[in-house]
Amino acid sequence: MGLFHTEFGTIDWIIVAVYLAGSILIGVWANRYVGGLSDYLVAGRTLRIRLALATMTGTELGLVTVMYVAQLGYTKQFASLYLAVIEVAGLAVIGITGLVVFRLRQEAVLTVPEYYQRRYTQTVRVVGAVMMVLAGVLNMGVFLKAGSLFLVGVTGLEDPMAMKLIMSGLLLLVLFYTVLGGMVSVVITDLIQFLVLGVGSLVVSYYVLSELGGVGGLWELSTSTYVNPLLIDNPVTEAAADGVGPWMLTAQWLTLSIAVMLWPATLSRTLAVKTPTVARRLYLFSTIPFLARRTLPALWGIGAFAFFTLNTELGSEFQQSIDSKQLSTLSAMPLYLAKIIPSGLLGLVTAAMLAAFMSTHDSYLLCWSGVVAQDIVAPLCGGLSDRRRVLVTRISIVVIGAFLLFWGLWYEVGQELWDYLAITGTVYLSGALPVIVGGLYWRRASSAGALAALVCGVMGVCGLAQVIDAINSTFFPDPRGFQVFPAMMMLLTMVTPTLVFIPVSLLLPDRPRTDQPGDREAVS
Amino acid sequence: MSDFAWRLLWMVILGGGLLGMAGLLLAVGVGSVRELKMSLEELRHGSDDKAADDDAGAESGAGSGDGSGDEMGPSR
Repeated sequence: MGLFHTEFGTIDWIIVAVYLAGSILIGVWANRYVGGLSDYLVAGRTLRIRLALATMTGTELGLVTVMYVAQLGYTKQFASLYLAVIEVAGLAVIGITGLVVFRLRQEAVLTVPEYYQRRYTQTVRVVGAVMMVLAGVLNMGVFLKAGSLFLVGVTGLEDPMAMKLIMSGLLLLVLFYTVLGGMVSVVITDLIQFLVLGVGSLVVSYYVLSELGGVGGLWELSTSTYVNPLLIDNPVTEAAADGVGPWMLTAQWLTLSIAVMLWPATLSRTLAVKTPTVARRLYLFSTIPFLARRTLPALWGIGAFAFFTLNTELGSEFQQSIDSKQLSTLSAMPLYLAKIIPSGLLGLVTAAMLAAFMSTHDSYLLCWSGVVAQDIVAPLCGGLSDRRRVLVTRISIVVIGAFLLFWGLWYEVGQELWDYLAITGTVYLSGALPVIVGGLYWRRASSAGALAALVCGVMGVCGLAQVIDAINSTFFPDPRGFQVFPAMMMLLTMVTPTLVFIPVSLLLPDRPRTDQPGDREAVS
Repeated sequence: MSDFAWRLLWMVILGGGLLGMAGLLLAVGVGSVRELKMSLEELRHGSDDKAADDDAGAESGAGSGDGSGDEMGPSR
């Protein structure tokens, strides 16, 4: 059995093709329900709790999530589950207290930057929107590659051209139905994707658990793997400091706690629910799917680790491919699933993962392009008609899609996928934290402070491996001396905007607000 | 915290994730399909109402002919 051996057969291709064709039909069909901008961006705010929960799960349990969580499961085994604890705890706190999301939903805005204008000024809105789109699109830039790596691993297509064609085809498909049907289409497809994905993830988990020897085998495996995330050294590898450790744990705790509260794609679903109370409850109930998204793929990654450790020949072939940069640890899980799940079911699982891929892409595309239309183009043009806003949103979806294809094809992720996502997310989150939380809860928060904090968010890119290498080689060339490292940069860039926001707000307070007709018009 | 405690915690977390997903499918699956139908119905009525408003506006000469009805903000 070779590394690229797969059980994926003709029947699996048929299952996948039928599923994809169904998604196109839904996109066409949903278009009839789109009456105006509110219908297009937030489905007319008609979502109730179950539907919102199902679609939120569809969005947040994306293929990129499956891939990075499985990668962490493969590289850090059980210790990787610390992220599940952080995320679920953060959601539970918001769900119980309604922190931020309740008040934000009360504002009845369509997007987060719209709130910036309501609370601060139009300039804050535009700058905040630019930062949000920059972070979001950079963040999303690796989704396509992660998705195609999964497909290549599962189907056994080794041809490099196959990966590029798959990436392009998947993107075109998502663009098609998102451009056409907006949030209505997204909600319908997300619901179907939630059902397919839920069943698919349970089927995969069953096979992985069986392969590991059930719960007893899993428990036994935990005795010889990495379980304590407080240790910076991973005991199953020879390399130093390749575990989690206190610095990374703190950085991830801070980033993830803020992300569950303020990540725009999640908030856009919150803004689409019927009432502020439903928004709060949505967070509380979301603890369950968020727990699932952080645990089930980790289990598959742990299974892949055990598989490649026990099958020494395959394991060494895989390691050689990683060393020669032909593959990365991202491919471990799909290559593993291709060997343990029988044909027929593998088609269902692949359809489920494609569902995961599309449900995240459509929501994110709609979210960022909605911000471009609502919060950048419309304010700068002095307001746009409802119809023109939908047109600009659709054009933005296509432009962002083209960028994603370009970025996905040439950018090489220099660190683990999750670290890349957390770092690019910091560009938005670090600035948004003081601006939103301060705006909602602190009367002295000012527009000058908000602008300074948002601009400071750009520092977030300093956490990327390429930038850290450049900083170290320029300022700290001695590898035995002091060197900056990702967790330190994540922490630094996350707290700096807040530290800037407070004194600038105090030193440069806003003038007492008078009615600004132009602002009001643009807000609506 | 000892390694045993960590292992126990991770087993509980993994079990919670598995049971959570199964429970979610059962609890949310059927109800969400019903809620989707209700939402689509509301959207259809909303679109019908808007079309009727636009028609009325056009008949009374209130519209500019350039979709001035589109200038209204999103429903809140």
